[in-house]
Amino acid sequence: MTLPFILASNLVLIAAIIGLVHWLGRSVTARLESEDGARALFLAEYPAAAVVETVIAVAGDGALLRLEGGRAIGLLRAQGAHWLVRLIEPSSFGGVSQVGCGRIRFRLADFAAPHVALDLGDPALAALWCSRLRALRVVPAIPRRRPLELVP
Amino acid sequence: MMNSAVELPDAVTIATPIFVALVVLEAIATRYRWVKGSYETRDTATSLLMGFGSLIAGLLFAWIGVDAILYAYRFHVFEIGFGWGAFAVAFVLDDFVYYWVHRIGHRSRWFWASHVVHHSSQHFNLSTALRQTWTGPLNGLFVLKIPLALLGFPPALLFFVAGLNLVYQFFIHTEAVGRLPRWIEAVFNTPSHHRVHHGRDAHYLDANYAGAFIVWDRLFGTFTPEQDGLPLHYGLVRNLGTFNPLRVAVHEFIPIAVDLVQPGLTLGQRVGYLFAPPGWSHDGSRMTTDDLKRAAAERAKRPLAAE
Repeated sequence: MTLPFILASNLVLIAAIIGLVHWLGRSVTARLESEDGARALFLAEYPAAAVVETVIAVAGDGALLRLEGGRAIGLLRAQGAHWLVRLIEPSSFGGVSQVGCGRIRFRLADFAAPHVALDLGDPALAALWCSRLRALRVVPAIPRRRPLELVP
Repeated sequence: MMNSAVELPDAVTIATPIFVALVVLEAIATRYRWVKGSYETRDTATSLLMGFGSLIAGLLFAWIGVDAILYAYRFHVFEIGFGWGAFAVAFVLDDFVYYWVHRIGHRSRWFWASHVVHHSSQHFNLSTALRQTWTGPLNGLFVLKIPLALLGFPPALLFFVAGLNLVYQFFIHTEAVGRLPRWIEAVFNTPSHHRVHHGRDAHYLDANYAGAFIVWDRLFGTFTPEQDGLPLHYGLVRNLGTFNPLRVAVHEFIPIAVDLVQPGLTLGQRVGYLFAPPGWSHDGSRMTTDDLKRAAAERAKRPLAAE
């Protein structure tokens, strides 16, 4: 067998397995059921955080959480069947790239999670959270000995 | 004893159809809940594409380690050859070396930047076994195998047993198998032990580095048994927000580069960002796995202290 044939047959097998997994109904995205659920998911990753307010995306595929002190915002975003959970601090916020029609899209200074897009369903709500995110840039970060990131 | 020109097959190539068949079988069996486990389409796609990319990276770069071992063998001390005894001893010693390669791969950030790819899925299934690094052949850890060649184990034998070891490890990436008989769990790395290794919960971090024999972890104090009452979540302490294979492949190298070019660091601090344990920082603003474990242990004590 030649190398090109081996590589091509590998790609065909990979495509076939991906197709099978999709056909088996395994392409379902994680969904948030409630604000309490969102809070619990976030606190499981950042147990030292104090959540003040939560907004869940229309599709349930993400949430933003206002935290006590206003120096960071919590983020939940569906990552397949699981969740991406991040603490957005001034140093990790890369700026809002788009806001409108209830949608908000922003960048993170995070190579492994560069963009986040959430549909909050309400233009006023999106604008409010957009302003909270933008405000992070003018909040001086307080140096901490220990970050909030504590996996249980 | 066979002659020194003997050609040994590549165990991974031979086993690939079995890998494919078992991934398909496990995906179906978990879908209908015949066995424990879960698959997700994009996660599976990423795992398989990382495996494919790893194959390409091997074709491009594996020669570096191969040539180093072939060169070292020119200076071998003993004529060990290809007998059954040599095969058995080579398998055990290669597994011993694998333990240390794997342990270093978790405990030093430069090597972790390659190995982290394998831990980047939040699922634990047979496709996760195929989620392999693209940069491993370049990280330099092949040097730990050179002593075996210098000792006199023929390179072909070393490559063969290393392939067998990888094949063995494919089968332990599953939730479908619970606990095996006690004597097997005592000696061999098993799905139960390896679930612990892929756990991101603080109580399971940095444990069970074994390839085939869990005895190395028992011997060197890194063994942690799977405990039924404790939560077990898979993936990274800080999970990825992408399924893009290119980002997955290099996602830890980028922050390393960012840390290295920070102004005002001493040379020692820059070396720390490259080789110290993942999570190390010059100002203590981040947490290593040791810090995470300590913090989790302290938190677990608090309710008792309050009583």
